[in-house]
Amino acid sequence: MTDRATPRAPWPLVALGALGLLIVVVPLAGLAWRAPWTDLPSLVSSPVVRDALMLSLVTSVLATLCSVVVGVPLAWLLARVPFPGRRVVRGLITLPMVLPPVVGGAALLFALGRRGLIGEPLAELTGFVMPFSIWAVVVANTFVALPFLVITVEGALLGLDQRYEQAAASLGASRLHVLRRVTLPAIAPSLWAGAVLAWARALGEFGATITFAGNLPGRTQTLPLAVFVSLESDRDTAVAISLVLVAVSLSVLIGLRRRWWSP
Amino acid sequence: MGAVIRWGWALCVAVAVAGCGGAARSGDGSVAQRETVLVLAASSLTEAFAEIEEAFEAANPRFDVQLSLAGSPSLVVQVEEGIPADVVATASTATMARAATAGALADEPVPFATNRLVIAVPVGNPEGISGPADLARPELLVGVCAAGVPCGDAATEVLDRAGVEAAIDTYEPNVRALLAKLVDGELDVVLVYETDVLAGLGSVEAVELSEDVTVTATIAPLVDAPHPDGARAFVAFVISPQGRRILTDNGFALP
Amino acid sequence: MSGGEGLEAHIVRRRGDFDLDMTLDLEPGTTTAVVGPNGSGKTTAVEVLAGLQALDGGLVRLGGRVLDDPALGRFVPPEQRNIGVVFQDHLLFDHLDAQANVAFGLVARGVPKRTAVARAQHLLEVVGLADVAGLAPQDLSGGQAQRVALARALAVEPDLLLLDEPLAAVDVATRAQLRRVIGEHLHRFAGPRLMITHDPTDALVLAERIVVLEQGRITQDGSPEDIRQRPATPYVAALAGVNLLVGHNRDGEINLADHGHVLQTSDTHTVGPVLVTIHPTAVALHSTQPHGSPRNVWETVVGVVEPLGETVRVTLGDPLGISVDVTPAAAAGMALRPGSAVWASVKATEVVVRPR
Repeated sequence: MTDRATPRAPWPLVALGALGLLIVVVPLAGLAWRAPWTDLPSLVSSPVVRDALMLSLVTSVLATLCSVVVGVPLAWLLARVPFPGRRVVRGLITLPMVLPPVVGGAALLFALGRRGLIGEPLAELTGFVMPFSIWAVVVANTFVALPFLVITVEGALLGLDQRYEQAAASLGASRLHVLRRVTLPAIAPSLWAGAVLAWARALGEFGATITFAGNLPGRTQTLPLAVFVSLESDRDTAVAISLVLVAVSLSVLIGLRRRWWSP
Repeated sequence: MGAVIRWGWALCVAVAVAGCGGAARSGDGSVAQRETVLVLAASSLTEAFAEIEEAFEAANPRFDVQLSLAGSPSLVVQVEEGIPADVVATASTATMARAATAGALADEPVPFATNRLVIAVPVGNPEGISGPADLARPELLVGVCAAGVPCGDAATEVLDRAGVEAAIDTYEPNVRALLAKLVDGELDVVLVYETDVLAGLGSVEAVELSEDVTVTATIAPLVDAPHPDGARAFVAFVISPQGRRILTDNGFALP
Repeated sequence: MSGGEGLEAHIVRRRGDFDLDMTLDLEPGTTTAVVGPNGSGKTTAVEVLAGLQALDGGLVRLGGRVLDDPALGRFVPPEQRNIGVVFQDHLLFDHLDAQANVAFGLVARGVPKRTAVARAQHLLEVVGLADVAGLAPQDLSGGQAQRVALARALAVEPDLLLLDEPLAAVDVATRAQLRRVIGEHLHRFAGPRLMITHDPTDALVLAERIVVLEQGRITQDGSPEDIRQRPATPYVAALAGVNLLVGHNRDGEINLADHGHVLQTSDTHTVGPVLVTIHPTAVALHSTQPHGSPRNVWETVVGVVEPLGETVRVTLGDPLGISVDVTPAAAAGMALRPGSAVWASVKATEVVVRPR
């Protein structure tokens, strides 16, 4: 609803903004142009794609849940408790964002692989080997997705008016009750935004997954891995899978827009 | 904010200048620069081609070889998309055929080495693997190359011939990634090339297959090669007696 | 459990230049107002009592229970203090409706939901807002929100009711009505009631006892009458709307050294250094020199003329810059304007002195 008095957008901003939009839109247009539209239904319903889709959805949602369960408390501690070494912790948490995912995957292998720092004693004690299992996918996804959640939620907590929490305390609410009933509802949009970002990152994760979890249809071959593998042998399948990824991502992002996209 | 914009501009200008400078340099051979010959080679050829590169450059100081290693299907995709390379060497005739169909080759591909598939295990064979049938054991972590990669197609052939329903745990994108996981102890048994066992430097050993499954590596210059002379010279070197000796030293057989 | 023994507080707090040292002992069933200019320490006092800040020295004891004792290292966190606070901008929780807000404290303390909701509904009826129970705070007017906040604080049956500038954020039109409502409900609360305000009307209307805090120290502690009749400092005097002067009384003659003027008083007993108070309504203004009984007559000039509804407040210039209340008719009749010459007169009996 533009008022006649609404200021007009300065042209340099429009030009650069349009360029930014093109950077995103042009590759998507290339994908659509290359897509085998007539064969799409049969390609998309093949067992490889269905397995990969199911696996991607399950692991990305699990990774998001894990990120929320450990990330929210961590964000709360970083925002509210001035503990020694807080800045260092904050830096460490952002590390997976700057680390190349393949390096992350290799690091996970060194730590949790069969001969890894933790993985070896774990395997000896329980016989459980994480690489090449669906758990490895969830762990790899959580590793890359967690920082997005923590940073978003911490930002929201820092910007929150703490007087509401003080009011709740004065009414007799314990710190946990305040967190559950006052703080989290107050930052709900940011929490959703962080969760959606984390989910999106987990869904698209490739390097850490293939390095740590391996590549096995039905168990560890997520949609991105399926695209990579078929890119070299069967282009059409690769494009079809890519379109599935785009469709899934778009529908979730748009479907949840009221929760996480504040106008 | 002003500082950000200024640094941004400076960065753009620097990149542009570097790009122009680079382009100028590669087109001008008169400033005592060597000609770069970009060779795309399959991962299984890593050690052999490293030695060939050294020997070729020593014999032809005019050229500077740059090796780009990846799984054969990856190389073919790059060629199909028009990478400005001079030579391509794949690990199987099937993958090379795709490049030929795409019209990317300047000459007929030349077979220059054959490689046999073997079962590879950690040295000492702790799990007691004796043949393909062992790959069906559920408690073992088994790895092969992905379908479409020559080593992966060969592995499928081995298992089909032996009539084994293998319990595969991972399909790796190239044979060296597969070998690395065996060496690191993440996998118990893999199907790789004979030459890879040699490259494993004493930490892996081979369990021979009763039937030979081989792949043939082929090489060809590319039709849009920036340095066609260098491309042809390199191909000729690979099939020369010197090249062949390097290949056999690395465990390949000759076709 | 409300009521009990009341509040005993000696609040000592030092932060950089800021220095607060005050004693506050409140009886159950009384309303005390703490009044002071900005920066006097009122907010700090509130936060210390609520448990949001810790004492540097002193003691806070409520209903016999020690809440803060730095000497012994005892500190009870806010959620365990059982103090009901009404904040300046109500601080109702946006994501809960009015009823859920009022029930919040009860739910937080483990009261079963049904009981909590019933009690919340009852309290809303008490403050006259039963019909807005389902509305969100954003949909309430300022006055309504503040009443919900009061209900919310009362719901947990606190040992002390603390109101922090409860009328400050409410618009002028609503303020009088809200003041009345708050007054009614304060009386129903059996425990001690403490109200922080900078508005003298709130204090004079709602409280039985007024404590004046200036720059971290209590300068006066008394009933509204005390404040009005015997202000101890210029700030208190301004609060009470009374004129306060400093002088020396000898035989009924007060020498006001600061003003180079002498006033006559009928009080010949209070001699020596004195505080002089003259009520604005006790001063009469005349266009020409008056004759008659007032023994204090002087020529002066008009400084400021402030119409205040039913009265006009005139502030005079030299020698005595005091405030005078006249009727609008008189002001019009004398054509009072800043700078106009005027005569002022005060009876000696209206010049009240107290020892300084």
